[in-house]
Amino acid sequence: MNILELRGISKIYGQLSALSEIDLDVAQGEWLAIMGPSGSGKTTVMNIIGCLDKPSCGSVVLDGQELSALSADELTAIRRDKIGLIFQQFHLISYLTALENVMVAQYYHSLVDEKEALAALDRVGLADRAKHLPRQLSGGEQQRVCIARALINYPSIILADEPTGNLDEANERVVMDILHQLHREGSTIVVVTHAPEVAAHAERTVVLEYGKIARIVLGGDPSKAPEVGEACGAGA
Amino acid sequence: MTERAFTPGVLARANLRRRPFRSAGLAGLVALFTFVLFGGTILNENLSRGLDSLAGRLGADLLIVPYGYEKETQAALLRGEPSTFYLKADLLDKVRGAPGVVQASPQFFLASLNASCCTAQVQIIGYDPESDFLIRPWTRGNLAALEKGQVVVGSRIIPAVGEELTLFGVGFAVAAKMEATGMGFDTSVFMSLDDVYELMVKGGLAEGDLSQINAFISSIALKTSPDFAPRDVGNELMRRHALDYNLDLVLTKNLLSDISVSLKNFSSFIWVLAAFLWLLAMIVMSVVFSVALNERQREFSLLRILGATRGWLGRLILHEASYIGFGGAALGLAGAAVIIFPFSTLIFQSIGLPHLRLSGLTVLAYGLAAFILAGAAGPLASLYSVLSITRFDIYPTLREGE
Repeated sequence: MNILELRGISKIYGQLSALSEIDLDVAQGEWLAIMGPSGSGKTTVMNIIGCLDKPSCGSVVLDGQELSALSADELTAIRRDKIGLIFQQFHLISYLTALENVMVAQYYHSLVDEKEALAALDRVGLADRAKHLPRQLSGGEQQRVCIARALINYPSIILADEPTGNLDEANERVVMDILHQLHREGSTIVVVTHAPEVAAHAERTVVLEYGKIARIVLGGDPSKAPEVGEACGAGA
Repeated sequence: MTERAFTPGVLARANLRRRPFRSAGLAGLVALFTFVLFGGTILNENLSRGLDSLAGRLGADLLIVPYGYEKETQAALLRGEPSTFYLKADLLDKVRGAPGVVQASPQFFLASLNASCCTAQVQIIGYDPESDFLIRPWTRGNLAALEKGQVVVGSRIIPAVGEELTLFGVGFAVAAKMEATGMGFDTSVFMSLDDVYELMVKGGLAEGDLSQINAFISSIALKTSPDFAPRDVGNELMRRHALDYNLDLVLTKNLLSDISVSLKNFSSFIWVLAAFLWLLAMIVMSVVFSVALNERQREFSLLRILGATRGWLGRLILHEASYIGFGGAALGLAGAAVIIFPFSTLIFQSIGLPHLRLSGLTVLAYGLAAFILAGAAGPLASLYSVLSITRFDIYPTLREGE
């Protein structure tokens, strides 16, 4: 069963075509990596999947709901309810503690539950740092708070944009271990990255070039990828 | 920790605490505006009512005083500054017969020592209850006649009607209390001319028999006929008696117009200053909110990504602006209350104009109006920022600089 279906997605900014006729399915519980060089359309795909932007044409179905025709506020509600976002720069609110940064996502979603937020922090190994402000945490710890925040509302899909791009090797391992654990528990994960070693953790990697899917690789190693259509084709 | 911990109000307060100097600076600006607006309005209204009361009830068109005592007479009338000066009393009959004079009533000004009623000197004013038209309009109740040993007291003299007041060791019964006039009358004690002469003898202020002492008065209040200009009546009196009696004249119309001009200047100054401060507060806050919005685009983008609607972010900014606006307004009101009310006597003394205190309810109404006007400056100044929230793309803004 697919949790996400993109059909004929294009995005045009003035004269520039950022995405062209993208078809892509993501299965429930799958770990998908989206790779590509700068300007290949990775961020545009991420924006559309994350309900942060709307495609110029084509349809997006997330968890059975068509998104293309929704208003900005309706997309906000979908983002709040179904998507957990993890960022390269963590983007924690500087004047809230780690616990409050998790709880603020609960607040917009439904009800604030301190115990549950603490449990989420515990899950990423940060229960003892709950009362710390972001500036009192290391980069790796901040990213783990960001992950706890992404998980707190039980999203249908976890969308991670360069999740280890700002971390050292040790913290990268910690974060990838957490993502593996989430994946084992059944979470659907989409990671946007330019790093092959991060993409290698995925079950499938989509490589974008010039706004189109250049190839899709099973097993996550894009260097061994066949051309699109040779093996699995778009929309596999 | 509950739901309330993340409402726009709570997050707004957290953000204001995070920038204490900016928050305090903006609130201080609003407080200054509120202080000037509220304090200035209260002072202005006190003075304006004082002037209205004076204009409405000061029945005299002319005051005849000894030459060189024009200023002292004004000071005694307007500010209650005690002074003593003399005119020959036989002038009164000559004035009464002069063309254009309808009524003439004498006064005798006597500065007291410290009296039992008061912490400072009071002005004792002897007057002729029969011919008086200066004191009576302000007397509460129906005072049929002032009997010997009775006094009428100004509104700020402590003893009440029926109580006794001792002046120079002589006791007087308080027969009536005047309404607040806003003038020196409020701190004056009025008695008949006969009583004031007797008091001078008993109090050791004058020697000799009463027939010698009562040959003097201090001033004569005149009411002129509508067919004559007060200035012409005054000029004729001066022509006839100035050399013999060493006279000077106070035209009450001039006195009032001088006060009116002073009040108008004061009022204009207050309004111009308040308008300038309001404009300044609005401009500074608009710029600061606009700059802050740019600084905080990432934070707002993140909140949008987490699920905050544009309306919610608008409420967040409005809350911050309202805390600054209404917080500053409350500070300004408190500052005005702490400075102006306890020191009002000193302030009005230094201004030297007649004044009437406003009722508590009126002060409250002015305070509320100033609070709303000043407080609203915050939300109004933030409107541009609130409307601009929708103008940035969420995710590109969040990733700017990465």
